[in-house]
Formats: sequence, C-alpha cells, structure tokens
Amino acid sequence: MKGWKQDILAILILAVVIHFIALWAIPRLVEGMVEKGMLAKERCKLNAICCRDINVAGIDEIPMANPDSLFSHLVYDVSKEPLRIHLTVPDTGMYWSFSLYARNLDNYYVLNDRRLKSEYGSREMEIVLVGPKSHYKKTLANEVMVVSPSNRGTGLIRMIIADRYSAEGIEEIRELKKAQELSYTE
Amino acid sequence: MKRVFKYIGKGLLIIIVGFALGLGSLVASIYIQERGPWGKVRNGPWETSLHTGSTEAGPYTRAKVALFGTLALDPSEVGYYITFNDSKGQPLDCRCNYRMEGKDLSARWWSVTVYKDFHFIPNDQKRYSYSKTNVSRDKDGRWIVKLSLKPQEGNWIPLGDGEGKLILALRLYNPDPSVIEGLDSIDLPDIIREGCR
Repeated sequence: MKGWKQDILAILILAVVIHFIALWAIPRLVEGMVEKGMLAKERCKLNAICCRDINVAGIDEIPMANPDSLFSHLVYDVSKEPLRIHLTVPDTGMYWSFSLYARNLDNYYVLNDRRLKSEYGSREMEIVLVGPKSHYKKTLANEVMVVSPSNRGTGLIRMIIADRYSAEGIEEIRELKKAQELSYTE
Repeated sequence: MKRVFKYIGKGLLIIIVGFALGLGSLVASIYIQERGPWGKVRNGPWETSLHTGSTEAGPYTRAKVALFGTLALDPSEVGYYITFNDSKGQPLDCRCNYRMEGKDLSARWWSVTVYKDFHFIPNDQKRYSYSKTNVSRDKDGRWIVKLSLKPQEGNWIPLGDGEGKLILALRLYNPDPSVIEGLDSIDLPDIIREGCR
C-alpha cells in the first residue's frame, strides 16, 4: 500500500513539473520554429531585415496570417553588440508598423506610421536594439534605444495593401518590396 | 534480475503516466482558460482576448497565442476577433453557404478573412479576404460577403471542397477608443447560414 501511494505521488509530482515546463517551453519552441522558418527564406540571414512575398495558400506557414499585409522580418541576436535598424515608412497612407517579439513571443515593442509621424515628425528613424544587460549609451540625437528582454528574438514590419487582388495592388506590392530595401540593419 | 526488470518497468510506467498527465492537464488548462472568463470577451459569435499579443498575457494565453495566433499585436494596435460558429451558434461547416453582413467598423482599417484549419483555403482566385479598402458596399454603406464552394455574384470568398475546421477572423487596425471600451458590444458582422450540400 505504501509503495502504491509513493508511485501516485511520484506521478503527480512529475505531471506538475512536466505541465509547467511545457507551459514555459511552448512559446519558446514556437519562436524557435518561427526563427528557423524566417532564416530559411532565400537571402535571409541573422540581424538583417528580409522582405517576404505576399502570403498565398500553401506557403502561409504562420497560422492565421493576414493575407492583406506585406511582411518583412528580422531575426536578431544582440548578445554581442547592439543592432542598428534604419526604418523608412512607405508613402502609401496605409497602416505600417514595426514590432519586436522576445524569445517567449511577447510583443514588447510596436511603432506604427502614425506614431512615428506624430512623435518623431518623420517617415524615417533609427532604432538601436540592445540586449537586456547592455551598457549601450545613445550616440546620435535622433536614435531611439529599445531594450530587448531577451538576447534573441524576432521583428516584423507590416504593410497593409489596400487591395492585393487588383492589378494596382500587385503593382503596389512590387513597389513596396523595392522600397523596403530602404529599411536595413547595421 | 527479475526484480531489476520489475523496477525498470514500474519506473517507465510512472514516467509515461506522469508525462501524459502533465501534458494532458496543460492542454486542458489552455482550453479551459481560454473558454473561461479570464481575459476572453464574447460579442455574438465572435471572440476576442484582452491580452492577445500583450506582455500582460498570462502563461496560458501566451501559449495559446504562440500556437494559434503567432506574432499577434496588442489589442490597442490591432483588435482580433475570431469565430468557429455562425450567428445562431452552429459550427461553421465547409459544406454550407454563408452570408456575412455588416457595415464599416470603427477602425483605421479592417478585414475579414476565412481560414480552414488555421490556414488560407487554396482557390483559383487566390481570394482569402475582403477589407475596408476593397469590399463592395450598397448605397447605405452596408456590405455582404458570400462564402461558398460555388462562385457567387459580388463579394465572394471560395470555401474550397476539402474538409476541415472553418474559421473566420476579423481584424481592426488602429481601432477607435470606442472599440477598446466596447469589445463585447460593438456592431460586428452577422454570419448567416444559407443552406448546405
């Protein structure tokens, strides 16, 4: 009887431990897969902004992706040095945003075109992304320092297309992809 | 020797049952937590969460968003509503035709998208959504989007002929403050079943 109770106790303790480890691990595992998928794209590498093709059925890896948004992505690692990100908002009048996600997929930073224009009075800006233990000091007056809660993470630039299904929309996507090369990292 | 095997067998059994219980209870917790009142908001058939994509999200919401809404944004930036049911509460079914009716939503930009098993439905038109900037409206500003296998006049999203769980998503980019304050009461599109195959 005593052995049977010990077995049940061991099962329960193990179950609780597994429960919380899995709960902690799920976002990190998913983030790892997202990173891997992003870096697997042609001409995409660590610490560089990479423009994707617009999503279509069969290649929409992210569940419930927005079909009307053109994405550029970034996988960063700021453990060794800060990452300087130069952002340029296209002049389409549609929603644009730059968002950053920590290793646990928390969206810790987002900047959209309207906020950029109202707060910084510009369509362009410099972000210096630093790690949680960085001692980086601002060097340029117009740069914005963002502290990542984790050394690794991901970033997304979203650009809404007014009508991706029209000829004008297809042309706009082509132009935006070209213009997106103006956003870069150093 | 026999005793050693007995101990190994018992140890393995404890590990297997422990893993099964741990993972099973996690799946149940994510499901119950999301079904319950913790951060979930209902508006007709539509559901949204106050903490999707937020740093304030609890660990269960964070896990669920990681699995089914990866890289979502905070509700103040984008409001996400999803539904698996029509306006009468019946599960959406790929074999049925639907009419989604609504008016412009109070946001800088909005869209409705159809998914099957969380991904776009392959179709010759490569059409997955309608939005504020491309939906056709009537003279009163109301719009109707039809969902069906066979082509229909006007705004139409093909449902394809494969099986799967049908999901509708509504996105509100830069929603007005009235949306954030009234997530459970703002006017959202009706989803009306119009017959099944």
